Amino acid sequence: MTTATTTPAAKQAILEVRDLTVSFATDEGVVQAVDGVSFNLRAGEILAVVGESGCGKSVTAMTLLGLTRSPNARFEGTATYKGTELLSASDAELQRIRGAEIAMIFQDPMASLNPVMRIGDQIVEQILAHDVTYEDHAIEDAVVETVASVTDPWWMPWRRGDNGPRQRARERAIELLERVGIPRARERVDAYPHEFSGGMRQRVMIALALSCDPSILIADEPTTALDVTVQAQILQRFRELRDETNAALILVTHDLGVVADIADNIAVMYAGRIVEQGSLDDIFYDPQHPYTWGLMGAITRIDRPRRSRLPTIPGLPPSLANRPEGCHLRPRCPHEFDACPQVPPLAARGDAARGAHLDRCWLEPERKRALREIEPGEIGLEPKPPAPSATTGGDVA
Amino acid sequence: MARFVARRLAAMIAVLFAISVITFMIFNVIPNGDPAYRLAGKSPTPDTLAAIRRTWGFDKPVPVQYLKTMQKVFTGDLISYTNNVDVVDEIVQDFPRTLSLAVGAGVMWMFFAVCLGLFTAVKAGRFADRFVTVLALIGISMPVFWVGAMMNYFLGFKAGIFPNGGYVPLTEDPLGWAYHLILPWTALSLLFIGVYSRVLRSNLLDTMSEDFVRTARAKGISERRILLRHVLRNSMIPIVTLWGLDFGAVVGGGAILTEVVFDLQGVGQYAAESIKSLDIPPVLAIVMFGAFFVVLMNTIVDIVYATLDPRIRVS
Repeated sequence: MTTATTTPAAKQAILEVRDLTVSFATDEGVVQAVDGVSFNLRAGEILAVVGESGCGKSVTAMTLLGLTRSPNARFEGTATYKGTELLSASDAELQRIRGAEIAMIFQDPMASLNPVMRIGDQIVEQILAHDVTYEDHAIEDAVVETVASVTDPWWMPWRRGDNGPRQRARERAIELLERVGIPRARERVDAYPHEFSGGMRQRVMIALALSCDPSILIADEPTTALDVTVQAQILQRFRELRDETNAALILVTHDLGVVADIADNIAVMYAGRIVEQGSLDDIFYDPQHPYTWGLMGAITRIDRPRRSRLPTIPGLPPSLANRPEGCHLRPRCPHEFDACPQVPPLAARGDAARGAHLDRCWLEPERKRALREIEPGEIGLEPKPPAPSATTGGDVA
Repeated sequence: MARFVARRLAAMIAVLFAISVITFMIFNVIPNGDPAYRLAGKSPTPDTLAAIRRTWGFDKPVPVQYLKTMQKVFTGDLISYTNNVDVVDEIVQDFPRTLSLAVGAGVMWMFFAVCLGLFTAVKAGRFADRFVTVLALIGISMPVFWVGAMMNYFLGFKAGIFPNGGYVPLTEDPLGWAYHLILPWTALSLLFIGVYSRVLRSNLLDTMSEDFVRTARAKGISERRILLRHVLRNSMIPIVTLWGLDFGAVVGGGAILTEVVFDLQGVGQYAAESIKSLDIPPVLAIVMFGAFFVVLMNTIVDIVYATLDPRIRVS
């Protein structure tokens, strides 16, 4: 693994994650949420982390910011951001990086903003937290903000518009809200979150995340709670922002369809492990892992004739406290064979030219090509054949 | 807002009416409640009693008596049946003492409850949390008449650090006012601090697991700021509700035990004495007075809600 740091791709990497392992001690035993995840992130890269719910995507993302730290959590491996080791960083170091260097956007914009704080104040707060010219007076601010929410704070000069860090931050907040497409930002800056629609709130979250020009933006299912048109707008916004600021984006999602437009690279996660990793084209045109086939088959497409049933991957992901031996997909995979009880390493298989396309499946590449094509031109995971009794049972008359 | 106040005013009148009727009825049905005996003095003749009944109107039907009494309450010439003192004058005279007790204790118990609530929530599950929890339970369990008596005896009488009861008006001597009231404030606050800090602690812990707290942490702001500006503010509503009701009750003479133990001569103590002698007019007046403050505080609390949580609209 140490050799990876010398590859050209790794040289420009601003974030290097190596063998990241996160486990939580719970009443049901040790939950292995993330198991040996490695990836590099370059400036301006959009990396999509894809997988079903409960496969460790969000934990991976949150661990990078130290948001999963708790007395019952254990971390192994390394995550290095521009020379800083994130897993072992002190609280003060983390506080400096959070929001300013690595910013995060969460899944549910309804719940992710403080309901009793004006959105402008929430943005200003983050800007001031990373403004070295501003001194932190938490208690005084708490009192002042509470009073300000009761009365028109004409007696607070910084709210009337003299100069100073707070006023500058407020102007910046308005500018950010305009940039993410909030109409009448100068009026809306003093609105409360409940006065916004879901899509607008997610824009506020994006403005919040962008407020300190982070080099990495982590978006954890940013569009899951939004309807499809808003989803497209938000994704479009992400791509524009990447082009403007050259920030790297980690996009965590369960929907491969979402990332088809905007991702550069994709990591497919299953039960805490990365099962396939490669460029957008690798994953979409030459998927190697049966789990990826399943995800691909589950994308609904309007340019294909509609099938009678929406294809699904049979079964549920395993509990992270009790995962199957070897390849974790075994119980759900129709193509299981005698190599599967061994853990397959994440490695390049078959076509040597595609060195960066890694997967964790024992099947031979030629065999995969034959198995994954369930219909001509369509990739999917053939569901397990139903039990014999079920098929014969229908013919009773 | 105007409609809100109007509706609350109407509700207040309904509450006061109901409470006054109930109080009045209680004194009409309890044994030995006949006020004529109280007014007639020792071993009265039947003639005297009849004369008293006639002059005071006790021979009239109960609804008429009620209306007469209520009329006197609002015109301010309600006379006590035991000592011929004007009840409204007496309440007005006692009110500053009760208000002093309520304001000081209200500020004290809210302040310490917030401090302890924050402390125990931050240290949740650790030794410090358990230790303070035990203290809070002790505070809840100790009856105020016992705590007050112990304080009076040990800190006031034995050690001589604090004055032994009494009251100095704020306008005359602010320091002496506070000095004389510290023990009553403390005694009254102990129970409330215990209850409030427990409620606040559980609310804080609930709020800490909210998504927006995670967002706040991801913004890179300090833990202290997260606690004070994001968690505390969102946990205050239940505490503010409790405070409004309890404060209203104490202002309305509800802290009877504290007032009696420290001989504050406030509205609560007056209520206690009147009940002892089955003196209807002062009891009726004080009950209505207390109910008025509880309803008033409830209305104020509803307005404060809207500022604590902008999602709640006063309408």
